[in-house]
Amino acid sequence: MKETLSGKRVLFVTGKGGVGKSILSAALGLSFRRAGHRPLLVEFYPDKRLGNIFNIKAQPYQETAIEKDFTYINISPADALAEYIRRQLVLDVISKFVINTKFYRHFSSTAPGLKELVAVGKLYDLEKKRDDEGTSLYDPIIVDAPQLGKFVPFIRTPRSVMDMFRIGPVRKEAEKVNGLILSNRCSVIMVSTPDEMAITEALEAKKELSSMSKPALSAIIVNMAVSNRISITDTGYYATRLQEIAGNQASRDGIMDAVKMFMTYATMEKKAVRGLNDAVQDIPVLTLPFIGMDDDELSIAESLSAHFDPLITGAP
Amino acid sequence: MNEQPEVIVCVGTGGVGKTTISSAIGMAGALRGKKTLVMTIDPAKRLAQSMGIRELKNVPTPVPLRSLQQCGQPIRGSLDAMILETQTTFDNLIRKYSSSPQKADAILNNSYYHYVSGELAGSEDYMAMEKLYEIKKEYDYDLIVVDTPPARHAINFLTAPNRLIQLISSGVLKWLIRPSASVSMIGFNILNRAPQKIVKLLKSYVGLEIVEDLTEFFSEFNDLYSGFKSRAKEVNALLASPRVQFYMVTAPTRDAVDEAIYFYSIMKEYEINFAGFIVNKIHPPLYNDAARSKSGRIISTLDQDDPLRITLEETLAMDSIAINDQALIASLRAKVRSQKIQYYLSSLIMDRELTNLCTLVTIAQALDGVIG
Repeated sequence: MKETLSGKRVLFVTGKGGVGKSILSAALGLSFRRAGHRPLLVEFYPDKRLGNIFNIKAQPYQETAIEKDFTYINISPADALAEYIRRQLVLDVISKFVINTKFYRHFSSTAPGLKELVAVGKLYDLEKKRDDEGTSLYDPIIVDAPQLGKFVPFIRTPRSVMDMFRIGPVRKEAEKVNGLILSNRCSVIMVSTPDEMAITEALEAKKELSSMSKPALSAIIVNMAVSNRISITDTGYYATRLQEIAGNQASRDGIMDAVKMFMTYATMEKKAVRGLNDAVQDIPVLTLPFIGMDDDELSIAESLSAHFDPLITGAP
Repeated sequence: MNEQPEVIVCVGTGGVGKTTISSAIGMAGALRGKKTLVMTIDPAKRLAQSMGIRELKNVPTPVPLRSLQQCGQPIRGSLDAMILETQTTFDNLIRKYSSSPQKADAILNNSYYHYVSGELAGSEDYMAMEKLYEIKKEYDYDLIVVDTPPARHAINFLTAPNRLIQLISSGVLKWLIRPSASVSMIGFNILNRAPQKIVKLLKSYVGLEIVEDLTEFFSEFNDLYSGFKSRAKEVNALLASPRVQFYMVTAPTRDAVDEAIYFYSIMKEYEINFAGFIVNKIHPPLYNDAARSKSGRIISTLDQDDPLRITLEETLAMDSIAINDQALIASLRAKVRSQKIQYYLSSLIMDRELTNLCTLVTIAQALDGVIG
């Protein structure tokens, strides 16, 4: 498999709600870390779903080590703007006062896109960070991005701000960030579940993204496919096998009922995934197995991370 | 609930199947003989196809129900569907409340207006309610089902419209344009300098053009402000009326259930009639107890890569989701203890694809009680 993801500096992980974006962002980070990279996980929400997977207590807007060379940051837009003002108004007393005013609260909730711009802009700063030897401090930056539908407006934030602010430093800031997002260094990973409706939506989103041309979509991940390991879908095969093994008619029937129900579902799922693979020829489609309900999220992320290795190292 | 609702609003986070459930409730209404409309936001094309409509439009479009005879269902009512276009709805509202077409154009071409109407979080939610109000006034549907925009937090739907109104009515931005006129609203004279400093900072950071755009926007908007505000009041009154019922669509996942509990804990602050939860995408169990343990015993006798072993392992994994689903539903019920709250459960469709109206009918039948 081509090492699709290597060389990408910022990876946006998006998809419909509930498909497992956070857990797959975590899995990607683990896989990059294993390959000797120095990944940074970024989350834009104050509820820290991604942070909770690693059970880390991070201050908003502050890079926090998960382990050596594996970092996490939570950039909720509200914190980002407060931090930005803090840096602009060097005197801490004044900035504290400003941030606590009613005026600021109103302004920050209504000012056109500033909060979001500053949050997305933080990615630019993080991408630029280098260690003493001049090597990137974070490589790659993995972003647990907003869900489909909110994703395009999200990455278009700098563009929208540019449409409004035609001159001035805010405009310059927006141009800078927009430049990064529209470069080859950024790339999108789309997550879907293996059902027909979700896949249709993913394909529509792919079309929308390609009409924007950048950032490019690098891979589609189908998450939680229960049929992934199934090679034989013919229920007759299982009936024969069970006939040989299970003595008791009643328990054999009970198991066969389960197999039949499962196969109806698995067949539908396989058909949907095949349809996706047929429709997508230009980028890799990676189908991930469903991992039981008993494990904690970190163990699930660890099991899943192995599947990403080929996309990173290029190994088969 | 005995009262028959005239409007059912479905809230919920993304990924729980809200659009499918809203359509199914619409179908339930039509099956009961009601003249029904489903208003949806950005539906999967697949769902529109399943209703026999190629593309949904911004106006009510009849769903051809003739094929329902295949599913053995007599047709009593009717079902229309429409998609909500936020921008068009907002533009129309501006035209309606402007005193002249010239003033309307000035706003419609203002770059700040584009931001407010299109990209500000909440405009979608607000316009959904606006459109509901308009449709309720202009058409005579027995039942309107509203599918709300997907959000990370379902409560956004209730808070967002107010945020938008606040922005539009906000004295703060007006003050920003003429800082000297109303500086006393800050209230702390001694610290007046700090906000002044922001204004200065902003001017140097955003440039003059945006300040001009803002000035224009707010002065033009003053013109239609009162119309807008009384409209918002009427919309809020409609939402608070007993004829409008809210349901939260959720799914048996930890995040979705946590969100449902959170929503329930804060929705009481809003004047809405919250009728209950619809738990969607429930996995049906695959095994009874005896067969489950027998299956486990057989697995232990088979080789790792035996296809039978793999299949049995996966059936048990899927069965464990079903068990987990029940535990999550039980935890939701334990947290939300109110006689007034209804629960409706909707299973994952295992045996049929969502390809036709018959599937929607199957889901609709499980939701019949919602109609009242």
